Amino acid sequence: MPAELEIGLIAVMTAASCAVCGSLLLVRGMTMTADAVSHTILLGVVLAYFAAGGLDSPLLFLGAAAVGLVTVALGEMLVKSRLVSEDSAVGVVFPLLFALAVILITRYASSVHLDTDTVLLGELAFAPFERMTLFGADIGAKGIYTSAGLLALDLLFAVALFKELKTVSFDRTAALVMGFSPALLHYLMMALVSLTAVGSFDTVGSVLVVAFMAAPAATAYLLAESFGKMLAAAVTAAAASAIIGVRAALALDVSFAGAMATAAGLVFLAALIAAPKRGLVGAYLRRRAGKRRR
Amino acid sequence: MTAALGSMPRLAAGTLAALLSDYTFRTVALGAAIIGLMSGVVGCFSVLRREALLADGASHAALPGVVAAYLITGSKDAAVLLAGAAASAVLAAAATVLTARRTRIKFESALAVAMSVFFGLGLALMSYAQRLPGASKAGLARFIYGEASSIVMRDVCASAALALMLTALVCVFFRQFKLAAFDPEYAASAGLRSGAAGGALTAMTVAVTVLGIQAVGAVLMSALLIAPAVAARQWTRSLAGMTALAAVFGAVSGVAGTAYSSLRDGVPTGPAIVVTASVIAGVSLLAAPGRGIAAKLVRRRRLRRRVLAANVSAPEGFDRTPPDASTTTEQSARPAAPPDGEGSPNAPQNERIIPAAPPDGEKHAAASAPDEDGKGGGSDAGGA
Amino acid sequence: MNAAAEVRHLTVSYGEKPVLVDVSLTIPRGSFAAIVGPNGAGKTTLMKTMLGLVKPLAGEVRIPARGRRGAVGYVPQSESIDRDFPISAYEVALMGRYASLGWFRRPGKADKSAAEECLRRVGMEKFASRQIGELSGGQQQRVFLARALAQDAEIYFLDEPLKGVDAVSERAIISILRGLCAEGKTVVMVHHDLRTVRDYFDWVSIINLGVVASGAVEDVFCERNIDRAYSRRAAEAAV
Repeated sequence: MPAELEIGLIAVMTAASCAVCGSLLLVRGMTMTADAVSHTILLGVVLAYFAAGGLDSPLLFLGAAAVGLVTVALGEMLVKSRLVSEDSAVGVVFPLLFALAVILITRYASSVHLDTDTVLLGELAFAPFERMTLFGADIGAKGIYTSAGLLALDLLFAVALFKELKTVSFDRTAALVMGFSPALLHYLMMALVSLTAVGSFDTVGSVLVVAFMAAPAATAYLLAESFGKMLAAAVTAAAASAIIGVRAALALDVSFAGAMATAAGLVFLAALIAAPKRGLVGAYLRRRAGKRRR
Repeated sequence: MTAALGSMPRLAAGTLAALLSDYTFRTVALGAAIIGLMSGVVGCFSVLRREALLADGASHAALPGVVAAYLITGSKDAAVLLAGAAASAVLAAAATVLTARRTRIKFESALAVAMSVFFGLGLALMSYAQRLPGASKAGLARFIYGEASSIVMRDVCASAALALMLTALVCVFFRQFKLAAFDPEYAASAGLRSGAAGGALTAMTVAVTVLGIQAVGAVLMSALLIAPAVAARQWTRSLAGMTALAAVFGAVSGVAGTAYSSLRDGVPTGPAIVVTASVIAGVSLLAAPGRGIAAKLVRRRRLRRRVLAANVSAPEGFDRTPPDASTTTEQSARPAAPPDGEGSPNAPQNERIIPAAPPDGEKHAAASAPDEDGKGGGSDAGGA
Repeated sequence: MNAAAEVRHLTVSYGEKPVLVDVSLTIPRGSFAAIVGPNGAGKTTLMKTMLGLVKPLAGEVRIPARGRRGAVGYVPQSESIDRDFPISAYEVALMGRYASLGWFRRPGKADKSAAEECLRRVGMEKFASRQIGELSGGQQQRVFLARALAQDAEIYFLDEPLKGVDAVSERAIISILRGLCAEGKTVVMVHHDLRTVRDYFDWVSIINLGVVASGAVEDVFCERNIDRAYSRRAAEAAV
């Protein structure tokens, strides 16, 4: 498989899995949690690195998911204490964990191959160099398998628990009364977000994980009238942005992740302006029509 | 971490004295203190206005502005780069506010989109700039993690000037800012331009954020605004007190963080400052008298014990009087003059219960209007 | 008396502020019960505690139906709903079937036709494909009622379902709820309009921090009890 195709494939699958998580977050008004979690997983990566002595261990995923959950739990504890508003709670917790991670890395791990840049920024261009081998035969880039695995996991989660997720996001109380534990679903979802973020960081970087969790979901939110359609639209928008981004990056010779995020932003901008019912133009026309009727 | 903490006591007073006589340390600490102070002051308003995460967004969104300013002017002068940073941060903030106000997308989702997309654009621009001669990759790391050690006397003077200006602004317009922070609707009804005050506060947040990037970096800047404000809130009820205290906390975090990072090899300054500020916030949340988590837990446990002890009858500590009637609204204000409950005929009874003119009669009529023509509230749903 | 819900010595506080103090009341099976009281009396808190959403400091709630999955229905206050959520009226109604389905199982044909039937019963079949935010307040409440119907619960809790609802919807909602009670189901509703208590309900609990009175409407809904709950000052201020 040519390198460009491998890069494109990884980009599309990573973007799509982020879009699934992002849609689940957006309808609950928790998109900034993606930002927090995507930063704090760095601490999980560092701790797992110290425990396992390398970056190739499944411990990395476990550590990252655990720290992601800790971030969310700490934030909720603060909110529950009624001392801090929700956004401030996020703003207090995640920089602390991130700062600890940076201190640990620069102090104890600066000599080894654990660069904060690779976690934060990622580099899709290097993805084809890491090969997956089976019985000595090259079966494609490693990133393809990670991103495919993540996408499968995310889709499985969203499809299998579709009605539960829809219920708990729309009407938490009803979910509780019906016996679908909102807390359990919430933490499952957060674990998934953390896993997706850690699985994506070495390809797109943790900052752009946020872009792909936020932008395609927001695009779909403007277009879709039902939750199922929103998920589908988000995945489509993410895949399209990834393809446009990779193409543009190749043509202009710029960073893949940067170009992909920009493309996602442009796709969102298009929907923001022109979405038939919810776009700026539509809203403006309706407002004017409403005025005239009066 | 534990090793580092364990060795803390070994820091003799002598080292501190040596530190204070060090010119570079003095400069950096002073710069960090001023930035911490400003963040504390401005952060109070962001936290109260529920705009705390705006700082996080603004700091990320500054990246494309920095790179674009460099690409356009070819200059690496701090003032030029800062201007670019401010321009793109303001643009992102404006886009966020517009999206949140005009579409169904909520503020924080709009913010997440704007900041991450802007940051991505910045990355793309940067990878382009790096191919030009004279550019280096070091700039990006500096943007993300900050580089307090690069603070020179000129930066200190510039931030001191800005700090003076902001403090003066806050002092002069304190009343307006207070209203904008607590009750924008009341401010508008009182004829105060809360929109202008709110806009000014947002602009100040962006300004401080952009300036702070040099010290603690884009990712951590939000903590410097939020943590001192959250900490200060626990100790005082007045906004003036909170602002002053947050300023002190911010400044202390700046100095202490700088000192810690100078004394321990390989501890970067920005994260050290943020950890200090977070520790102050954590201690305040746990231990502040009255409001703190510890105090609350103790009180709730006592209350529970009292209730359980009293079991059947109402416990003594409770005030059984109903809520103050002056605070209740239309529902309870309705005359509740029911019949005596003795088999008198139904119709006249109802007449007596129904007040002459229900206070919210118009509201009810307005709410039912869209329903009756069968179209529902569709016309207003999109415009909201 | 066959109780559908029983509350004993319930004390609830948010932080140190008591919201309900030593509340005891019984709601008989098959009754259409109102919970009334002035603002801040703890009506919503009482309902939330009965549903198990709020943990009481002391006391207990007994709802025999809770043993069966989906036997407790709930209609939210319309303000608590995110109007922008991408969900259609039909999907909301279908949600009522989820409770009996349990985890993972997806709704089948029978569930779908049941949801449609329930939308018809509340007169909202024409709006099935509308996104929830495009409906008026009254229409939204009717859709939530359809969800409750689809759930086929034994006891229903409604939190001020008539708030901001037009007269047409109010009549429709009340007649459907009455129908439920006639089938032997229990309906518990937080209500704020004292004028209609006598017309709509057969059971009423007047609360303000504690229980002022609770029983059949004709027995307890009298001037003295209401005055005690709403305090003289409020009544005088309104005259």
